[in-house]
Amino acid sequence: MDVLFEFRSVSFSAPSRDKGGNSTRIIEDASFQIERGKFTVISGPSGAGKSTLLRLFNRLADPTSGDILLDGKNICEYPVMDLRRRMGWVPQVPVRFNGTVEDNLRLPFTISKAHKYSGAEIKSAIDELKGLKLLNDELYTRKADDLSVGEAQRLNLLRSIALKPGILLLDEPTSALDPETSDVLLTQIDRIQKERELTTIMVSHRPDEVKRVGEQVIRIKNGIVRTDGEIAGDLPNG
Amino acid sequence: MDDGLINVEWLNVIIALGLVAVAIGLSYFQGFGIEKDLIVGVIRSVLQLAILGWLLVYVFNIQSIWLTVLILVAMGLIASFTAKGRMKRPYPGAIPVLWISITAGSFFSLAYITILSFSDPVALTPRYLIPLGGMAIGNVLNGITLASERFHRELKSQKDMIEVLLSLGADAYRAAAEPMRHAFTAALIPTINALMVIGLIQIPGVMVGLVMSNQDPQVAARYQLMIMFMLVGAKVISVTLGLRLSLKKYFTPEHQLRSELL
Repeated sequence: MDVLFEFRSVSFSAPSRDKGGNSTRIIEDASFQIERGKFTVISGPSGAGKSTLLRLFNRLADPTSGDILLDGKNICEYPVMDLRRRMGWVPQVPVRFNGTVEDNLRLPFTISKAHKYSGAEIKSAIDELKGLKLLNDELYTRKADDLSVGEAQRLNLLRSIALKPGILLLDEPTSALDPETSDVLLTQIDRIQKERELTTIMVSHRPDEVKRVGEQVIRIKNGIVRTDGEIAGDLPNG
Repeated sequence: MDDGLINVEWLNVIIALGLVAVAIGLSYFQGFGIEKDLIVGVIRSVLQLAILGWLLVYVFNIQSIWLTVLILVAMGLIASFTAKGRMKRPYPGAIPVLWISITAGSFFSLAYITILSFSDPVALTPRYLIPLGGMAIGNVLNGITLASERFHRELKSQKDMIEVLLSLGADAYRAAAEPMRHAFTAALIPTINALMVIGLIQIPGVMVGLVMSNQDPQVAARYQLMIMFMLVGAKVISVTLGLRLSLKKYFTPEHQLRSELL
């Protein structure tokens, strides 16, 4: 097995919102591996800590204890901004920035102080994204705010892969969409994952999605994390 | 005195209080329910201003620059606690951030106006420094309260957007640029509006005071302008500093948004 990520006894407690309050344990002693190039689904009931777990991959949050390794090296040893740029991020609810759809796609190339791109490089990258045919051609010059939710989420998907990351992180990308639009998006995610050989990690609470795209499944319930290889049947309660 | 200013005794003040009595009566009969707040407000204002009047007589007699600075520092401290009290969810370590920001902005502008602009040793006496400093600090307090509240609200509502930017490799400053801009604008709009309509609708306080004490209205206008410019400078510096410093509280050094503070 070609391991890309390895979690070693990772726990995460959310700091208290109130002064002097106790922190809440969300992830308890999780150890598992993620295989390179595979489609992994993190599944579990809502409030189980799925999104929190996903945020640990690109260091939008850090574990309270334990280590996360990327290519055998602790993720804290990579410069955090570079680490994040190696991973695409698609939020639950699509985020649109001011300006046109194309402006939104240009953002990944202009946002970082450390990485500069020429106009020609940006143009060719955007042309390549358009070539994926996720959105109709006439939409690229429209205001991002004028897109439907489904279109906006496809824009988020495009923006997340603009920097050609090797890893794609998706936080319940279909949760704001109706079944039909969800289906289209999921097909597109699956296609891009295969074409670009992306290691994809997607949070989902829907069994049908898990079954459809998940090559590896990580189940989380009450903070306890299990990979599908480890469990037979359901998780014990508590 | 031959400055044309009418001498005001406590009796005159008590007669003026009649208007507040009317207000309390109206509130009571209309059921608006602000009588208690009005009464507390009146009592506080009478006490605070009576003490201030007494204190200023004392300070003006002593003419000590150090005592003056001490009073201004204390005013800044009171302003920081007031600003923190007005925040719905103050972040940890808010007092030092607020105090540094409020003091830096108002002290710098006060020093600029008194040393460079007035350019007269008299401007460095308590009679000038304390009222001018008080105005600067009070104005900055309003600005920083508006900015802090708005910044917090924007960070909370734009959390997803901020995290998308962070995930694209933006640093905390870049990721929070939009919330910061909104907060800054919210704090500065009242000041900009005041600059736009100054003298058209309302004659501002300092000018009123000078005109009533028989000073040349043109001199009064120039005083007022210098003070307005001092307030603009103080507010911009304090709000900018306050936002930059609070940004470091809302984000970890690893550019992670601390959502538990939102």
